[in-house]
Amino acid sequence: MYVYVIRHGQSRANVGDPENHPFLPAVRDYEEKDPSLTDLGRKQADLAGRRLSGIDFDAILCGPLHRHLETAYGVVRHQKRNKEIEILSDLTETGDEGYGGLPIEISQPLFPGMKIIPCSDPSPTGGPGVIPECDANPVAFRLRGRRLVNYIRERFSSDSSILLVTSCNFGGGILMPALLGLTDRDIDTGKFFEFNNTAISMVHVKDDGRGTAAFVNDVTHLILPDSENIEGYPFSYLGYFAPGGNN
Amino acid sequence: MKLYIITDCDAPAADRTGRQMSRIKLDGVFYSSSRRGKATAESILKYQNADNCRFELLESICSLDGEKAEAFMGAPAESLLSMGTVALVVPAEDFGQHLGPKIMHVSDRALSEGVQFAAAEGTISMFELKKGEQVDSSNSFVNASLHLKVSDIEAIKDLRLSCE
Repeated sequence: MYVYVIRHGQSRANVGDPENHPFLPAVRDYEEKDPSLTDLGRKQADLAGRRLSGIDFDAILCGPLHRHLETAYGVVRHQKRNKEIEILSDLTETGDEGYGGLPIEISQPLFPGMKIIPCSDPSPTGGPGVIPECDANPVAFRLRGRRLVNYIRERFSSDSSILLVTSCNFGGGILMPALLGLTDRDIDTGKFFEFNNTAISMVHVKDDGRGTAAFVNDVTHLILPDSENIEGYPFSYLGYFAPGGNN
Repeated sequence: MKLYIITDCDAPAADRTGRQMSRIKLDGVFYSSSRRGKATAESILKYQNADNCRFELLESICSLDGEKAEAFMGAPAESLLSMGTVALVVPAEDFGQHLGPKIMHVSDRALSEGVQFAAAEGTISMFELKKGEQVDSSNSFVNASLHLKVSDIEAIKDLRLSCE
């Protein structure tokens, strides 16, 4: 299974930090619990969508936050077939477990052409408006990561390509190690990766649950002029697998 | 302290990688004794100011295995990084199976069970290292490869983008 993970674009809570680091206390703004993307963040999401347009995703699973949905929208608009996202509350950011996102009847009209549905399975991951069954502590974060990976491994076949839309700390620090099959004992540092805005990573999860990280925290789609074809990945150069790619 | 790791590759890809790396001022380019290591490293050096960039075969990254990668992350890495920003050229398999995971502190147990980074040729990875071998995980990336496919490579200004 080829699991692509993307962090949301620049949100209004990210603005003002020259390093684009969203977790400095001085810039984190919780006056609004669920900030939307900035204009730049929407542009980033569009560029990421172009980059991913050659990959025909079998499913796009999206966190419940507004910035997740806006980022997914940027991707879906460039997908040729799949115009549907499923909301999984387990993809929310660490520390945001107490908030399940907007109900679909409010969010759906904001994204014409993109169908938003709750996760179709009776899983512990929940749907929009459902608060993840998870406490806000590191042990619970990792349990959530493994729960999510177990869920997608059970649901999707080994040749599936899926996209997960999530946030910085959960995506890079929790989800990536879980996708790679790493346990708490396997990493002796507090964090694995942290993602930049719309950074794309891809892990090939094998049937035995172990993963190979094809690339991590790739943001090169953000730095090219509009005239360039940024679609896809040069796997033919790499001699690596090309899951649904255009090359 | 930024450690770039380039995976060795054939000549066309190496030239693209060198041009991409020209945006970054390197204080040293070090290569392994692999078949294409030196040639790839020369492609990197070609786009640097050779007068201010050390260029050497580095024994501690030759024929990497888990033990050697672990050893490299001690004194050899510290010594290199005291120079400033350096690039290592190694075979893709050595990076993906040994060096990359070691830098990210993946355990031997996990490595023995198959956890790895993909062996992809001509890619650029960067790890921003802090004192005590810690990685600044918010500034690091693995296997960036867009420079291998775009037509106008000069348009790629940097590999790590901010939001501007």
